[in-house]
Formats: sequence, C-alpha cells, structure tokens
Amino acid sequence: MPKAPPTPQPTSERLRFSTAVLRLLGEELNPSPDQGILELIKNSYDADAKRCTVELKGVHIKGGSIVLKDDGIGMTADEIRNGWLIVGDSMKSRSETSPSGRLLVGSKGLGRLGALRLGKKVELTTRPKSEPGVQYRMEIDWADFEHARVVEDVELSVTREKAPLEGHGTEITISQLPSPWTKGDIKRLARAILLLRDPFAEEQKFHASLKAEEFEELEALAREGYFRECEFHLVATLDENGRASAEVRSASGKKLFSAKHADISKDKDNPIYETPALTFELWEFKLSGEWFASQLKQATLGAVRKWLEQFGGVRLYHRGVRVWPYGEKKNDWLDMNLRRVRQPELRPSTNNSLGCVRVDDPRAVFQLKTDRLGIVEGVAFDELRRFTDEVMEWMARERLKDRDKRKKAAEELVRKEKKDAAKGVDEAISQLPPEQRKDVQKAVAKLQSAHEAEVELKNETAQLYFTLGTVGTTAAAFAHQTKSPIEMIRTDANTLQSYLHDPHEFALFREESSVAAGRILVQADAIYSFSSVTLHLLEHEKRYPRNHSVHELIDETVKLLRPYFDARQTAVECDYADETPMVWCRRAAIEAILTNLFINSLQAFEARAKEGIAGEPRKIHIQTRISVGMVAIKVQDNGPGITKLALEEIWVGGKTTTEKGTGLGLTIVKNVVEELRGSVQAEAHGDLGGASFTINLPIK
Amino acid sequence: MAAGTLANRRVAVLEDNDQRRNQLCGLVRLCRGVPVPSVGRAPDLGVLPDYFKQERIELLVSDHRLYERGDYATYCGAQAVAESYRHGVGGIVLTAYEPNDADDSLRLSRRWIPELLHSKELTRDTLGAALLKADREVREHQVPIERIPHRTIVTVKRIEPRGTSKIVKVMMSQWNAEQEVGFPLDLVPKEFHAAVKPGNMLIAEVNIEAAREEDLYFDKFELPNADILKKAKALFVRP
Repeated sequence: MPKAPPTPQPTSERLRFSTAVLRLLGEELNPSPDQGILELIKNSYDADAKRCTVELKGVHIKGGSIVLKDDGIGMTADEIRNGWLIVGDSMKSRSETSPSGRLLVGSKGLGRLGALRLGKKVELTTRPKSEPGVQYRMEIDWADFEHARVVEDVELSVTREKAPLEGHGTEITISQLPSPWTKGDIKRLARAILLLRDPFAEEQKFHASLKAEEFEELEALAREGYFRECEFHLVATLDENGRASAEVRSASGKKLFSAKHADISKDKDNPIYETPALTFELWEFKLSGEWFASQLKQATLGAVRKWLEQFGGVRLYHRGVRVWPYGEKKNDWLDMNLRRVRQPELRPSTNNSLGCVRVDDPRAVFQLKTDRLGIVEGVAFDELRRFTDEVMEWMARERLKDRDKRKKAAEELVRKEKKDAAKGVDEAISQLPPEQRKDVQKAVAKLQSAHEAEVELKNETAQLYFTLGTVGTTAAAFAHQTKSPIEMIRTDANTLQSYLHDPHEFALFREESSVAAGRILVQADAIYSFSSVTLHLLEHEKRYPRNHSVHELIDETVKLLRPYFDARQTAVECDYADETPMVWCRRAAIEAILTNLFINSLQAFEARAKEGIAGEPRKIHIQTRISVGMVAIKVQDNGPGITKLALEEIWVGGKTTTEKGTGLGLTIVKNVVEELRGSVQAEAHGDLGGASFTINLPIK
Repeated sequence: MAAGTLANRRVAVLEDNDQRRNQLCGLVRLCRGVPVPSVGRAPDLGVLPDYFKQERIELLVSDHRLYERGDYATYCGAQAVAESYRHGVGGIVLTAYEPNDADDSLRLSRRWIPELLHSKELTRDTLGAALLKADREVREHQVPIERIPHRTIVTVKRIEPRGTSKIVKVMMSQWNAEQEVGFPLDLVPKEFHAAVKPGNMLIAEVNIEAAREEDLYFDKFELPNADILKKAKALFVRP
C-alpha cells in the first residue's frame, strides 16, 4: 500500500514593515522640525539631565547639522536596543518617574524618529551613568533604508568604547540637513525651546538652550519679566478634590479679591471640577500710556507691549513641560478674546495678558495626541476649561463691584471738593474790599457757567448713548411684534391679487376680500404706531435737562409704549403720591429707565408662559412716594420674579435669562439712575410676586 | 393645488393675535375648509385631544408663539401640533421663523410637526397644500422622503447658552458638511448628557433628506460603540 504524502508543516512568518513606513511615521506625523527637536529635549529631561544644549552648525546652507548634548544618565547598550531603537514604544510608563523623581514627559518615540530624519545621517554617543568609563556609539545612515525593502533588513551596530571616568550624558548629531534653515526657522526654534519650560518659573532644575544669537536675545527679553507692571495678578488653584480657590493681587502684591470654591463654581450645588489638581496664574496688563504714566511704572509701554507680543497668551504646562500649541498666537484655547468682546473693561485678552496653567497629573489623566499637537480632549480637559473660565468670570464680577465702588467714592469726593472749593471762593470774596467783590463774583459766575456748559455737553452725549441703547433693547424685544403686521399685509395683498385675477372667485369671496382690504389698513396703522415709538425715543429735545414732573414723565412713557402693552395684554396701573415730585433731569433719562424696566417685565411674562405656567392677567404697577428730598419710584409686576440670576448679577451687561434679551437693559437703568445721583434696588419678588425695582431720585 | 380640496373639513385655528386669527380663518374658508378658531384662551395642552374630538377637528393650523399676547396659551404651536399628531390629527405650525426658535422650541417637537410654514410664505395655496400634506402623513402614513429618519453620526461642535437653556451645535457630514445645526440639550436623554461635549460623536435618527435646516429633526439618540466611532472618525474627521 503506498504511503500517504506527509502533512505539510506550518511555516513561521512575521509581519514586516516597509521602509516607506519610516517616512509616514517620521515626517507625516511631525508637523514641524521644532516639535521633533523638542521631543529629543524631552528625552533629555526624562533622563534627569540638568542641562541640554542644541547647537546648529552651518544650517544656513544645505548640508548643515544639529547637535544636541545633555548631562543626563545616558543609555546602556540594552536601553538603546530595547528602548531608543523601538519606534512607537517607550520603556517609560507614564505613571512612573525618572530616577530623580521627575514625572516622565517623553512620548511614543515618533517625535524622536521625526527629529532623527531631519538629516541624512545620525550619530549617537551616550555615556551611561551606571557604567563609568564606557560609552556607546552608533550611526544611522538613512540611505541604507532607502535601498532596503523592509525596516528589519537594515542592521545597526552599537559599538562599546572607552571613555573618561568622569561625566555622563548623551550627544546626538543629525547631519547633512537636506535644506538650509532661514533666520525665521531659527527664531521659531529658539522660542519653542525657551518656552518648553516655563521661563518665568522661579525654580529651574532643567535648562534647555539653543546656541544661537536669536535664543540669547529672547532669553534676555524673557529675563526682563515685566510682571511688576501688571494691573492684576490672578492665582487660582484646584486641589486634588476638585475644589477651587483664587485670589487677585495688584502689582505691588496687595490682595484685592479672594474666593472660595462656592464663589467660583456657580452652577447649581457648586459642582467640583473633575480634573487633576492644577494652578492657573495670569498677569493682566493695562496697555494704556495714560495708565502707565499715572502709576509711575518703571518700564515703558512699548517695552511691555513688545514683551507681551513675544510671550503673551496662556500656555499649558503638563508635568512642567509645555504642551503645544496652547497659548500660541491665534490659539485662544480659553476663549478669552471672545468673552472680552462682551465685557471689554473687565476681561483679559490674549493680547494684554500672560499666564499659564500648570498640571502635574501624576495619574496621567491627560494624554497627548499622537501628533503631540495638544491633549486628547475629554471630560477632564473640558473641566479644566470650565475651571479657568469660571475663575475669569469670578474675577470680572469682582472687578465690576470694585469699579462701581470706586466710581461712587470718586463722585462723592468730587462733590465734596466742589462744595469746599465753592465755600473757599465765597470766603475769599468776602475778604475782598467791597468795591472789588462784584467784579470777582461776576468773573467766578462766568467761569462756573462755562464749566457747566462743558459738563452739560458731555452729559448730553452720554444721554444719547443711553437713548440709543434703549432703542436697541426695545427693537430686540419687539422685533417680532413689528414683523407680524408686515407679514399679515403681505398675506392679504397676496389673497387680493389672486382673486382680482379671477372674477368668478372674486364674486364668490367678495366679503372675504373686503375684510382683507380692511385688515391691511389696520395693520398699516399698527406698523405706524410701532415705528413711532423709536422715533419718539430719539427726539432731540428730550435730551435737554429741565425740571420735570415725575408723574407726567411716567404717563408719557406708558402712553408711548401703549401699543406694546395692548398687544401683549398687559395692564399698567399707577398709584401716585399726592404731591407732584419734580426732578431736574432729561426726559430721555426717565424714559430710558422706565422703558427698560417695562421691557424687562414684558419679557418675564412671556418667559413664564413659555415654560407652561399660567399666571394671573399680566399687570405692571407703578407707585411713587415722596420722602425728605427724594422721590421713590417703584415698578413691579406680577410675573415670575428674578429666579435664574443672583440679584447682584442682573446689573452686569450681557447677562440675560430670556431669549430676546440683550442683557443691557438693567445696566442702562443703573447707569442712568447713577447719572441722576439716585440709587436703584431690586427685589426678586415684590408685593405682586414678580420683580420689583425701586428708584430713588433727588427732587428739586 | 385646487382651492377646493379641504372640502368642508374642520380646521382648528390657534393664534393669539386676533387679527391674524381672523386672517387664518379667512384663508381656511378660501380653501373650502371650515375654520374653528379658539378665541380668548386656547384649550390647555392636556385637553387638546378632547377638544378636537368634541369639535370634530380634522386638521390644525397653529401659530408658533402663542404666549406673546396675554396668556392665550402656556405652550407653543410646535407643542400643540406635536400633541395633535400623537392623537391622529395632522397639523402645521406657522412661524415668523426666528433662527432662535429653529434651534430651540421648534426643534424640540420637530419630529411630530409634518409641515412648517413660514409666515411670509402664507397664502391660501401654501396653507391648503401644507394642511393636506400633514393629513397624508398623519392619517394615511404617507411619509414623504424628506421626513424619513436615518441613523446618522452627529458631531458636537459646541454648546451655546440660550437664555437659561443650552443649545448643542452639531455637524452632520451626511446632511451638509459645511453647516452647523442646533438642538436643545433637553432633546438628548439625560444619561447621555455627559457625552455631549465638543468633538464627541453621537448617533441619532435624523431626516437627512430635508432641504431646509429648520426641517431637520433629531430622535432616538444613542452613544456610538468604539468600532463605529473609529470608522466614523476615519470617514468624517478632517485631519
């Protein structure tokens, strides 16, 4: 019987990689040569080096080389074989530390590959600390890989050599660069190396430098450290339990504001921040020549500007090493500029501030993206941003409070000084010989009158802005109201047009057509009334100060807004004091106050109904009462009240809880009342259940 | 469309503005329908189906903002039409179309609104055609292609505060890779809220054949598993 053929044995195979993969991994995953070189410096940091220098030799022409030297712990032959030469792997675990206790920052070795491929050849010489008197050397010629099919076909040899007993570290030479480097390239690399570690941190246990004129210039500029010229210095910290605290100091170190967790995390129940412990530090500068002069600053505004241009923005330092590109020009990762647009006086921008977020992250929560351009954005990163945003929001609130306080104090001081000065002038005049008194009194009166005319002109301009603001809030609130009659006219006109073309249909629906024509007239009147409101608000004559009856001004404003009250079925009730309070003001001022308060009420009614809550018939109640030298005007409604904002926040510009609100109305009210030397108080729920505002004004 | 097609069908009319309500009733009559306006105050949302039964209502036309004038209604037109859809009455929402509404109150109920008519396009012809289209979808289940949902990858771009609510702005390459679309966060089941973050992807049923942004609806949200996520990223995320 013939023998059965033997069963074929399986062969042992391996997955191999084409040498083209080196190009893909090395070049395409490397956005710029700088990032590759930074990766080599990070390797030096992980190797416990204290110093790392990068030298560029003849790079201004083709064929130059880059030499990187450090005084780290070096590598043994085994470490070269099983670590340095394995692409995409790292012997380092992200949660381990270096022998001296540094948290590791190097990544998967792809950046290193990118850097090594910047030239045609690489030479590595390393003297391990663990083997004194020994050094290892190896060379890579990338041309060998171009001739090979798969990466594993190219053999690399590591030579053991004698070395002096003293010293350890690694030197890498990347030679035969294929293209020359421009001055701009060198400058960019210098900046990247300088900012890799926080150049402003007090403690520098690792120093990376570039041997180039450009680096020295930049380092000197960084050393200038114009921090003492700042307006505010914010330091906010987040502890390991996600609880925040912050304080803001002046340039001289005086504590201005401080906050606990609940002051910063303003969401319901003050949630903790689910991100690793961190510190957020920010210096904000007031870039105004006037301010620099008034504060007797030592540096010039130009010098600070130049410094900020180079180092401004908020950078992120993860484990002490910078994460690119956060804080680069045009990388406003904390949306600072966007928020500043809404509150230009109270929020920092990337142009007028410098700062950093420092996260140690021992548990390696943050992971760098493969191309090392940023951190993988997950919940922890969002929470980090929520923290920085809410800290800056808190700082803006405190600044607003402080600004209002200072404004009031300054006004009080001016009033007192004015009174003292007038008294002083009167006393001086009374001591003059009687024949001279009249002339001097006349001259003083003339001077006073000229001054008052100047002040008046300024006040009139301010009033124009308040009026325009009020027109804006009115337009935003009632845009839909004005649009509706236009749409109705359009529909009716369309109906008439189609019927007039068809005599049969027209005869059939003659009555409907006649109603449509009538409605066009009614709607045209409605448009007329709505557009008149804006025109009336803008009447020029209203911006001149006179002695006005408060009751008349209230009646006029209610009459002016009557079309809107009627359209929204809102009753307005007035309960006036027996006497007529007279106030020296512009009509437009009271109109701006009342119009904005009324709009506030109308929007609150609408918001309540939208939330599915039926209320009593809508009502706004206005009451006036007179006490010693003052009139109190109380405007309240039976809406839902102030429920979604803290009382102190309602005056902040841009804050709104209604979809059509601009967030400017109550800011205008507050400013106008203060212009009139009055005060305004708000209650979340007044006598009618809704919001209540009381305005106190001095009477004539 | 021929104006006669409503053929004495009873059409409920919800509109808080008296003049506009009269106008709508006139247009329904011109379409040969019988208008049944709610005057003074609209029925509560909960009793709307009973009201329809009692008044033998077959179709509904409702303005979207029903709460501007007094307390005519404590709900918006989108909610009324959605509720009537669930009870077998086809309806349309009439809106002045303010972009804020599209992302917010309209989107919240858009799944159950067969037709959205812009006020400026309102004529007897557009009204009649829209009402008939709604009737076909709700009663005869003839759903037009632009209203059919498809499982779609939705990439969150950002979250915007709007008054006191939050609007999620997303991009859907399968609909239009260039245009962001918004919907209220409330539309997403609470258990997925933590995943609604910029850069994250979700899966939802979306009528991606819709031509206009305001006609899109989002339904049945789910979180993509790792495999789908990987494929989606390879396909839709720009390097």
